[in-house]
Amino acid sequence: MKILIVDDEKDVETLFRQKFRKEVKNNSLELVFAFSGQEALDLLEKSDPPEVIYIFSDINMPGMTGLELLEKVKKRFPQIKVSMISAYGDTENYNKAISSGAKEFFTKPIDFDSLKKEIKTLMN
Amino acid sequence: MDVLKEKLLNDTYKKFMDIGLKGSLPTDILDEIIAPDITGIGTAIDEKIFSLSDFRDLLKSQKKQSEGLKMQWSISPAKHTISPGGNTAVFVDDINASITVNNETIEMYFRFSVVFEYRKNRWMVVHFHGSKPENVESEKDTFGIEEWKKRNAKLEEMVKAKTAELQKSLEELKATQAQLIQSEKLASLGQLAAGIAHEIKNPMNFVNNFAELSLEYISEIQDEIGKLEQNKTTADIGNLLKDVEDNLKKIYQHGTRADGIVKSMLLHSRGGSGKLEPTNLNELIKEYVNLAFHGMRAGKAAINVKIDLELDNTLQEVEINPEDFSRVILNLCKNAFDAMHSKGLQPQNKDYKPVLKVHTKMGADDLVQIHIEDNGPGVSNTIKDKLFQPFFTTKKGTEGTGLGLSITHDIIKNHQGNINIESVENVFTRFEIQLPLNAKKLRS
Repeated sequence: MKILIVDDEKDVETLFRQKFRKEVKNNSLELVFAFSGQEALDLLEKSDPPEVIYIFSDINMPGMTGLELLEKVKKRFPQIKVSMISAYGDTENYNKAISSGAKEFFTKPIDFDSLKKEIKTLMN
Repeated sequence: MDVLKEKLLNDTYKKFMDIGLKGSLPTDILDEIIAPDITGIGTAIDEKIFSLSDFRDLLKSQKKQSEGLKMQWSISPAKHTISPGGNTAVFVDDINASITVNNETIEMYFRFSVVFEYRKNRWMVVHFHGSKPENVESEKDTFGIEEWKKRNAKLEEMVKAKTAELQKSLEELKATQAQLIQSEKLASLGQLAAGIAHEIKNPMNFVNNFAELSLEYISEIQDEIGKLEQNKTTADIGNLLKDVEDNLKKIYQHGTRADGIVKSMLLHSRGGSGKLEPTNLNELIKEYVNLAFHGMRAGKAAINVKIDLELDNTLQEVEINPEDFSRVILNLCKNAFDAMHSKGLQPQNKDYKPVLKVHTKMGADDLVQIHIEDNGPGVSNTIKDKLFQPFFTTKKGTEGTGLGLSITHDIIKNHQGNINIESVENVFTRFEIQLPLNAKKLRS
C-alpha cells in the first residue's frame, strides 16, 4: 500500500520513515514524499492509475497550498483519500478542508498513534 | 441777560457737574451752588433727593460705589435754555461714561437735566434728573456698576464651572484613549502571539516526535544488549543509554510543556467560533469556583481558603459562551489561590487567613457585575498595566506562562465586556468584570 506525504519540510521524510520503519520493513506500507503541491501532482501523474491510495498533506506550503492540492487531487483522482496535517487547526482551515473532501484533519505536533490507527483501518 | 450772569450760570453748572458726576471738587462749596430745598431724581430708583443733606448722602454713596473705578465722562449739551426772565435755566445733557474695572471698559449712557434758579445773586441748582440707562435694573446702583460687577462675577463662576466640566471630560477622554491604546496593544500582542505559536508548532513537531522515536530506539537497543553476554562493557553501555534515555525524556517533557504553552497562545486566535447561549451565570460560577478550589487542593500549592460566594438571585440568564467563560472563572480563581498561597509563605503572615470572595450583581444598564476578590499580597501600581499582556507573569520559574490573564482579558472583550483590577498592596486584589446581559454575538 502506497501513501504519499506532502510537506515542504524535508525532515518530515526522516520522521515518517523512522516512525513507520516496521511497516516499511515488512512491506505492508510504502512511503513516498513530495515537498510541494506541484511535486505531488507530478508524482501522481507518473503512473495511471496512480499507485498512491492515501495522501497526507501539510496546508501551509510555498506555492500551491495543501488545500489547493486537495481540490486538484479530488477532481482528478477522486478515489485517492486525502487527509490534512497542519499547525493551523483553527475552525476556518478545518471547515475548508472537510468541505473540500478531506477525510481527516490532523494537527501538529503529529500524534503518530492516531495517524497509525488511521492507516491501519485502511490496510485491513 | 448780561454776560456776567450767564458766566455765573455756566460756572455753577460746571461746578455742579464736577461735584455731582465726577466727584472731583471739594464738597464744601455745595452751599454756594445747591439750593437747600433741592429735589432730584438720580439714575437709580431710590435716588430721590429732597434736601441738600440728601444730596450730600447721595454723593457719599456714589463715591463709595465708584471707588477703584477709572471713570471718564463725556458731556454733550442736548439743550440748554434760559427762561425769558433770565432767572431760571434748564440744562439737558447727554452723558456718556466709560468705566474701567479690572482692565475692562464698559460704556454707560444717560441723560441728565438740571434746573437752575437765580437766587440772591447766585445761580442755585434746585432740581436735577438723571434718566437711567435702559440696561441697568438695580434699585441702588447709580451707574449700574454693582450690577455689572455681579454679572461679571456670575460670568466668571460660569466660566469656572464650564472649565471644570471641560477639564473633567478632557480627563475622561484621556482615560478612554489610554484604555483604547492599551486594548489595541493587547489585541496586536495577542495576534503576534498567535502567529508565533503557529510557527513554533512546526519545529515542536520535530522535537517531540524525534525525541519519542529516539526513546523507542533506546529501548530497542537495550533489548538487543540484553541478548549479549553481560560484562563490564555491556553494563557501561547500559548506564550510558540510561543517561541518554533520561535526557530524551527531559527533551520530550519540556517539548510537551512548550506545546502546552503554544496551545494556550492559540486560544487567542480562535476568535468567532464560540457561540453565545443563555447561561445561568451563578451556577456556572459556583461550579467552576468549586472546580478551581479542588484543583488547588490537589496541587502543590494547597491552602485553606474561606470561599465567600455572594450571588445575586435576581440575576437572569446571561448570554455568554459557557466554555470560554468558565476559563475566565478558573483563571481568576487560580491566580487568587496562587497569590494567597505566596502571601501565606511569608514568615510574618503566619496568622494569615486566605479568603476568596466571589460576588455577582445585576447592575444598571443591563450590565452584570462580577467581582472576584482575594486578600492576598495585592498588585503594585507599576505592574497593573502589564497584567493583561501576554507572557507577563509574576510567578517564578515554570509556574506561570503569563497567558492566563491575557486570555481572560480577550474572552471578556469578545463578550463585549470589561475587566478592571482594583488592588491595595498587602490588602486585596479585586477583578471587576462587567458583562452585557444580552450580548448579541461574540466579537471576533
